[in-house]
Amino acid sequence: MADANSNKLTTRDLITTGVFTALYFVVLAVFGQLGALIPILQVLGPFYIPLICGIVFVLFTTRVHHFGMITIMGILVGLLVVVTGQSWVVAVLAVVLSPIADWLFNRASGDAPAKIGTTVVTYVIFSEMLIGMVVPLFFQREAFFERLASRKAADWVSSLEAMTPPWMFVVMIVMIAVGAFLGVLLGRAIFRKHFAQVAR
Amino acid sequence: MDGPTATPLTPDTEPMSASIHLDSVGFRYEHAQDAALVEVSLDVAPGEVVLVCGGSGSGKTTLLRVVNGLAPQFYPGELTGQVSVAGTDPTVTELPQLARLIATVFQDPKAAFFTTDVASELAFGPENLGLPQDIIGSRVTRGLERFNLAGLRDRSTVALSGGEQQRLACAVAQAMAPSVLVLDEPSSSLDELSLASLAQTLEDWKAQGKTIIMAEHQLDYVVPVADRIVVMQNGRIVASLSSDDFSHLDDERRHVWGLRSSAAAVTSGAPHVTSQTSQSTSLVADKVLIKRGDHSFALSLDHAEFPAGAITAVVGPNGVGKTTLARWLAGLLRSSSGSLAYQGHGLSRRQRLRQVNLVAQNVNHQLFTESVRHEVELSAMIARRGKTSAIDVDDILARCDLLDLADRHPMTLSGGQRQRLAIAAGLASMRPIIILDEPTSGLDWTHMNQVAECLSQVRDTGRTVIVITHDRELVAAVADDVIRLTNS
Amino acid sequence: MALGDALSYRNAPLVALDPRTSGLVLILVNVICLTAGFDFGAMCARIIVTALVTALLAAEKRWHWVMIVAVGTGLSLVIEAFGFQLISGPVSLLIAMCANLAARFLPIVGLGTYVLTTTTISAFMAALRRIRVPMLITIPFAVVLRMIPTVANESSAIAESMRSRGLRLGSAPARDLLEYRLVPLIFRTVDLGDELAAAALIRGLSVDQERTSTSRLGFHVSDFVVLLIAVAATVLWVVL
Repeated sequence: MADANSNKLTTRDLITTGVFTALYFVVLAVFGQLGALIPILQVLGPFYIPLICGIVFVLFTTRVHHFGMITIMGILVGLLVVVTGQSWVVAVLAVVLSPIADWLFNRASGDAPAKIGTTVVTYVIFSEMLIGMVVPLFFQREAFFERLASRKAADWVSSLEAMTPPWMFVVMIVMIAVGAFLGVLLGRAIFRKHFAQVAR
Repeated sequence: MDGPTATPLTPDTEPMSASIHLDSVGFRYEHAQDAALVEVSLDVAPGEVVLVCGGSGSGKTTLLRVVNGLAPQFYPGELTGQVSVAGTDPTVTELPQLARLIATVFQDPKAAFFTTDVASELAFGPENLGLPQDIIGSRVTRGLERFNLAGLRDRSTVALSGGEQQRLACAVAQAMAPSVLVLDEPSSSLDELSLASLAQTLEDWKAQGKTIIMAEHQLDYVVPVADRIVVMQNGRIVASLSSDDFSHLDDERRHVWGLRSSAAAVTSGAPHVTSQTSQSTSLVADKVLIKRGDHSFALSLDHAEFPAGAITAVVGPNGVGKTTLARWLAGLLRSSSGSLAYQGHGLSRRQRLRQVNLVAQNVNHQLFTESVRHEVELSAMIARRGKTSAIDVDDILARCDLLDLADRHPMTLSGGQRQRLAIAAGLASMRPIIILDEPTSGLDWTHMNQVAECLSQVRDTGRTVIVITHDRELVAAVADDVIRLTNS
Repeated sequence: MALGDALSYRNAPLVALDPRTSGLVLILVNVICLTAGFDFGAMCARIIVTALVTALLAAEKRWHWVMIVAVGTGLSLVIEAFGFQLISGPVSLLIAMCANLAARFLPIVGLGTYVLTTTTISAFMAALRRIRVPMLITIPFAVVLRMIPTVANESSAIAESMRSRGLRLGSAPARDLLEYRLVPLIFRTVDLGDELAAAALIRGLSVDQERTSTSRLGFHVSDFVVLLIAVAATVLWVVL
């Protein structure tokens, strides 16, 4: 049963982690793909994807009582995202950021329901792994644009270059944070509305 | 954590059966107000087959969970009394230890499968126990043979038919070499052939001397196999009968206990066919052909009429295309040929999406809101955009007997109540055609009748009601017309 | 065919790759497709890799995927490499970006689909055990592979049911629609997850008990061939 005092992850905790990771990833993929169809959404992606996935994350945290679950989820999500065609930077960030998020969450909460501040900080840190998706665009710019320029389409290259100035990178980091914050708010509201009363 | 331990078994012998003892057992789930089990005492001798039945909420599933350790180890709650199964106390013995003694066959075998192919699934349990490779290999081979699965060895578990999945679930249980077998409504969604196969499996297990305890609501196939039948109501055991005595019970007695009528009684009550209503108020389907990916036909229907203001039941064997027909009528599927006309006018697929209300088999995909009332209001709101006149939500709730549940969250409702909620939402959508796919599967006598009553209410509003069903009692209770689909 | 079924094991494949080989090849293909540019070596690598993925998919008779990967990637590579020499302006930018995405994603997604539909979860678990990954990771990993198709199927069913009921953009506020789209999915996933967990625990799954593996792992000729091709592509890219 719930061994709140022991620090060990039970088999059931691990299965729960797997279940919610699958859910998180499917939601991420379904809503992330919208951006592929409607280009405008791709720009807003860093904002709305953490927001929507935040609903799943908040539900997950209501079942997290031990260190390890958030870390495992983070690593698996990072891995899945990379395997489906994103930069390996996402996986590296996942390995670095998820344990930090996990530690913060479990240190503050223990067995009591998490405070909103804790959940927000945890999830913001967790979500920032997604910035890895655009890292190649910003940090390998010179090589990238050089390759393109060599194909002799100066207009094309300069317009793309103009569209993605380095400070956009910082903007995207902020977008993820804001999206994550709102995601937690929304997740908690939905939890109270639906899941708190259907006690499971 | 200490309790009497079972005698150690050599890894590959089929063990002797063991007994089950429940002494004044009570159980209340963690957040529940009422106890699920009250003062239950039951003794099952080694090699005995006991069938537990009762209406929904009677406690039969909880009883099984106390036996296999899930209550309270997986479903937290308060347990009173003494339990002993195969020599240990399942309420405290670690589940991996219990796995060597007790095997469970669940209601939904698909949901319980862990791996992706048949052979691996058989091996999964023994692998978990860390048994040596050769032992596992022989258990897998034997399981494949015994349960006629050898040809499906590498088949994906999701690609199996319902009957094959249930066979695999039984094979999986046996591969654990258990002393005690626990089965929770294993006959759900099985057709006649598969039921016979399941009954045979139970006979085989009985002949091998295994102790079996199972819960069922569909009783006729298994009563002959059982040694004893225990009836539960409100968490208590209210009767314990021999298989013979049980089969001689009259239906009234069965109904009082929330049980369905016996099969013999149902087949004699076939519905009369009402006089033909005129074409103009009917839904008429013609020459419908729907292909599957591999170019075989999922549905081949020459002609069917569904009168308005009547309930038409669509029956037929598994796989004949009943659900396909329902989805096509609702506009969710394209057909390679065929037409649908309502009141003399053709209905395109897009029009069907708006005119037909489909209450699908899994009603949990269709409930979105946080209260019963809101769910009905949601349909009303969408309907109002089509500028229909004001919709009386309270009236609809009353017709479906949901008024006192109006503020409850849909996910706190029982299966039968959710069905009625989906029907109520259908009424509020103001669509003239409503189709239900297996609305009463798994429901006990009381709830089946509540759904039947609700359907009568819908019919009385003049709508065209179509019900896809296996449930002969429902057909007898409420159908005005029956369309039988066959495989020819 | 439900979406989820496209993501789960189908049947014993013609070319059974050891999961460790698959993992390595996935990494190499991922790196090549995402970072290789347009110079000769890089293009060779990308073409070889695309051909490899196409061949694997063809071996499994997944003709739709063969078309998507071979034709899709081929076309996109051509557009990306030569396209914008011909047209210029914002339209070409958009086309080039789409082509860029397609050329990079399609082989990766194709390979991913191939691996998922031909490798059993038992094989994955056995392979992880072989490379000494603890149960702490293996269990969640297996559960993820097991549940993703299930969740995808539930998601489709809910989306269809929303469409059927008339809940689309415009018929209700966006926030409500999001709730309707996600809340039933969460309930269903949690319920199905609980059923899976109960069954798995009853069948003895335990983080404390090392499992026996009966999946036949081991490197065969096919593994060497596929690995060789992937490595050759990488070498070409790096060297040329």
